[in-house]
Amino acid sequence: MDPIGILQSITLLGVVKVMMGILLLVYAIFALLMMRQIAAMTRAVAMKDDLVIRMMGVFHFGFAIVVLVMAVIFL
Amino acid sequence: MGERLSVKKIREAVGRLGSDSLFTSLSSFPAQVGFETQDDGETVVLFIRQHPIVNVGWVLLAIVMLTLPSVFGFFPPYALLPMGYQFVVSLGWYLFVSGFALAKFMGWFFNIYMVTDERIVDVDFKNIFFRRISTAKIEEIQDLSIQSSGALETFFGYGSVFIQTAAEVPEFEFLAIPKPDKVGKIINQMIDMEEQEKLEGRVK
Repeated sequence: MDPIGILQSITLLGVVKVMMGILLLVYAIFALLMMRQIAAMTRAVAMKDDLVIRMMGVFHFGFAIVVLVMAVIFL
Repeated sequence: MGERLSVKKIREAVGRLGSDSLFTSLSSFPAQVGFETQDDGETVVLFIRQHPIVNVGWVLLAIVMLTLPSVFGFFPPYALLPMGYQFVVSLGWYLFVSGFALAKFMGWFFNIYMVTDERIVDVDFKNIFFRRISTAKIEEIQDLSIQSSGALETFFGYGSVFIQTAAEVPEFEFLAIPKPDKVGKIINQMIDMEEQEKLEGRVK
């Protein structure tokens, strides 16, 4: 396909779709880092029942993955 | 292994403060609390976090942010999007709010001050990419000041303890902690005990 054709095929919704995909992918990486930081902190300072805070990090990362998958499905 | 006599003396002097729950902001001799650089036989005397009232601002903001998707529909760029896009944008927003709340909560939860029978420990957790653990020996403490100012601090009984040391970190700031007077008094007692130990030799 020639460059003009490619440019003509780009739609506003297409741009929104790609932007949202990238944003959610970056956010999922951020959520992964957050989860790892929680694990590092709970190693640095061990507390009773700190599994609760580790689970919060895991759920947040899981939520980020779910939203990313939803974006792939619905957009 | 039995408890050192010096720790027993501190335990008698300090008494019982706060609770052992995971989200406590003040606890004396907490059960199952330890830190990476803790020495064998070193006992955590005080475990302190900022007063829970410091979380009110971000909690309110998070609640307001959670209600925002209900008004998204009034804004043209969102209203013009197809249903699938609207669904993903709303989910993305809830994800962002949960991340914001978790980051703020972690900032409170992992910002810990500890006083052990040997030293003071300041665990700084500014954001998810920055953490620092500073320590100073009790014998290195040079000066201690307590500050409680403002209506909120007076009403809820919290304030700050500033500790000047001869260690690598010259000042430790225990900010917005509950019962700063009590914490200051305990640290002072421990300085006295440490000085006494120096004169008499360590009591095992």
